[in-house]
Amino acid sequence: MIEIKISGRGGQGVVLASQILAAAFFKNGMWVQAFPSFGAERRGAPVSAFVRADREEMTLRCGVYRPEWIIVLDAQLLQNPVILSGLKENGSILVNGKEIPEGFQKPGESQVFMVDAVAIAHSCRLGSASFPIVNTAMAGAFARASGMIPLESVLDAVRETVPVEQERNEAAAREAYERVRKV
Amino acid sequence: MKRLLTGNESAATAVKFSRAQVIAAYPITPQTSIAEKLAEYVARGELKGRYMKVESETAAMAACIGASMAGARAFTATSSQGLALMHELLHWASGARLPIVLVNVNRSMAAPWSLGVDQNDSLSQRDTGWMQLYCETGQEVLDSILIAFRLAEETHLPVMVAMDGFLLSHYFEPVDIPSQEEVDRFLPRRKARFRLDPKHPSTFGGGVSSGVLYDLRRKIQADMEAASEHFEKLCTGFSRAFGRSYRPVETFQTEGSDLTLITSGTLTGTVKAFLKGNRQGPKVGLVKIRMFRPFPGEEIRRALKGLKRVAILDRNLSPGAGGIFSQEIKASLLGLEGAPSVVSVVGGLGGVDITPEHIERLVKELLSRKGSPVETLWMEA
Amino acid sequence: MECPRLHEELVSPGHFACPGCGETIAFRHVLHALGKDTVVVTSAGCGSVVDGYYPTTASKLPFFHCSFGTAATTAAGVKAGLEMQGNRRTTVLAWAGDGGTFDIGLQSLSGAAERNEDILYVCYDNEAYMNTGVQRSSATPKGTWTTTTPKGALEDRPKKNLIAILAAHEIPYLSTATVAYPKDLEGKIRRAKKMKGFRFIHILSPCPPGWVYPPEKTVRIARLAVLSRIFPLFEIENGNEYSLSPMEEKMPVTEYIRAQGRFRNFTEEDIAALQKNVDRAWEDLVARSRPARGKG
Repeated sequence: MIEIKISGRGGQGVVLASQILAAAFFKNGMWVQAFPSFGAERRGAPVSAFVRADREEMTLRCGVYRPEWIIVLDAQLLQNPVILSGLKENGSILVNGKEIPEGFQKPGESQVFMVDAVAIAHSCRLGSASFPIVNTAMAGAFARASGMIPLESVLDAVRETVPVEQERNEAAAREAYERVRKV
Repeated sequence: MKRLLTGNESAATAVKFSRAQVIAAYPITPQTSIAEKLAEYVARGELKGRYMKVESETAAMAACIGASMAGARAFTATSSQGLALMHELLHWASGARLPIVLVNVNRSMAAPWSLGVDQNDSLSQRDTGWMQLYCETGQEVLDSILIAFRLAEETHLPVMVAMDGFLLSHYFEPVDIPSQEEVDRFLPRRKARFRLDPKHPSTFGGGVSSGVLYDLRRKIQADMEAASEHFEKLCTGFSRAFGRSYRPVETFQTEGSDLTLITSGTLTGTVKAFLKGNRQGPKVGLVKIRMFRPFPGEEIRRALKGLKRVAILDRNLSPGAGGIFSQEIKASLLGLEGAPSVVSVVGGLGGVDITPEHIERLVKELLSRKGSPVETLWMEA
Repeated sequence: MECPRLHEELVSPGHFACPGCGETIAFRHVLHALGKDTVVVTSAGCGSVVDGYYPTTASKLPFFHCSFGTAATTAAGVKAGLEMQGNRRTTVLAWAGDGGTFDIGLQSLSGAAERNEDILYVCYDNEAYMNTGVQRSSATPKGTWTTTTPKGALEDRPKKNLIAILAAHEIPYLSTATVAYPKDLEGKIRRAKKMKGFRFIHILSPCPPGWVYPPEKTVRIARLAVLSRIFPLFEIENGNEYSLSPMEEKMPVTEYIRAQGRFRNFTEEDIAALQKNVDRAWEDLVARSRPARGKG
């Protein structure tokens, strides 16, 4: 069973990101779940969403505590120790950012991947200057970094799940797929 | 065809395919996306119905009562505080024998404010004369609503379909979506036998003598008892049409078990996950309660007879009396030969998370004790 | 950037509001004008969530959460309880959104107003059920997008005229205010505080996610509402003594409408029709009013 945590801020499309990844895994024949951390949400407040994927039907309904992947939609959030808590040993982190924030300590033997999804969002004209939409780019980056799902599945998922501007969102996913790198 | 939907989206989809004619709903977390989706369907013409943007939940149920009395298929959805606001009218709807279907997204009751799941909201309404069905998965939400409309209209009793807030309402998961044609074959249009009609004027709900009321209550009890069998009949038909089987009470690996857990709602799925990973451990079984009203006393006695030990997991609490499923199940075991020892367990209130690991620890604890204690065992938070 | 503190705040930073939230700006000014001898009663809505989750609270005043539809009555109960214990001085503030005032709370509001309960009721109106994710309320203007009035079924009813309803209750004091004119807002609170009986202030509270505009534009949007006279500032005493508050020169509604994504479906015809209605309502208000009181 694969468990993924996605962290971002309210309004960044964290829940939609979890649904895109779930849809991509689903297209590869896996049973999936995607769900938000519950509670009253506010624009700008930290929020998380989770994805589970498994070959067989999953019946459990509870939180994700030991994700093997943590996707962070806003590098600033790395300053909050809660964001990366629970990461499995030898787990992986994918961060939206230009460079690793100063003072960031990679937990244990984890691998860290990075992509400047904000720049990609700007170039694909997704969202506004102050509020770029990075979720589809991050989905594309995840496909490459994890190798768990092919890019095509992510693009299919974007087409089905994202309500507007599918073409620009697909372009963002493609570009992030190319640009993501391990740091 | 399997698609990914949240529990709320599954509910809205089922209501659309059921061709509900009047929907009156008031937004409340975590129900809101049901109301929004239905408003969208009506706006786009996908659902040919009236969506009444009422001013409160009391108004929502009042509107449903009016619409249903007029002969239309009526639906509403709510949660916790909203359901509580409908309380007076829930009595009204069942007394009036109106086949309204309501989806309740289970959420803790204030005070204080809490958005987490527990079942106090729907269980507080257990005496109002509504049938109650509890769902474990998004698929069950969709299917239960389709069944609920037929069940309600054929028994003349309102039906409440309950689903756990967030753990079901907000879980995006694979659900098999039927076609409109398939649903139309299973669920015909409503033909109200009694309704407000200038061509056949009647007065409904006026004052009655004690004797008449007494008879009406005897009738509702008899009809409720018959509804359980009717539900099973409908489920057989549903299984033929859609390939999925449902029963008021379902059992898993109970035969020869050292301990059987009794659950409802999504907690059932978490216990199933524990059982899957527990092949080497002690023999643990599971009884799932789908139908709470009418109370499936016979099915429960049949499921528990001869078992060594059962623990009832209540994600609810009647302060001063303990878990609610527990009270009712224990009462139904009175006089049963071969009844198991029973432990009442309360956990998960306010949405406190329960994982398979919690279940594992609970099972160890339960197996280490004996007898049927009066006190409730509280799960660790 | 260090901003100088103008005065002691009765609301702490670190609360749960969205960036640019109009309600929170209003709340700060209302509490500042009322001072410490105040009890706040808040019904469900943005206001109750913004205050924060246990064990934190943003309010430095006594603060009580009540059910969605009961703000006015609960506040009246608090006032009665205080008085029966010999405290006739403390102001009881009912703080509720448009949902809890125009809709589910209307019965409670009318009852308290009709009995002239001695409370100050302030409604922060963001023109929809924002706390649950932007569903329409009866305060939602005609033509507005919300999630329950999506494209194809946009809001088709005019905004409920709650001021007229309350004026008909002949309450001692009734006024409108908004976050672009804090001095006017605080002035009205101070005036109301000195009076007895049921006092009501209606504050227009722009909401960036629900009205769909960038968060830094909240004050500008509130100002445009007043300048366009879609939300004129005025006071009514005893149900029939109208006075206009000082406002700058009237301007067309267009800029206000075009600044918000929730009005994106307005055609030129819709704007023209709106302009006509606004003009008519403004003329009517002017005709009823005495000259403007005080300074701007």
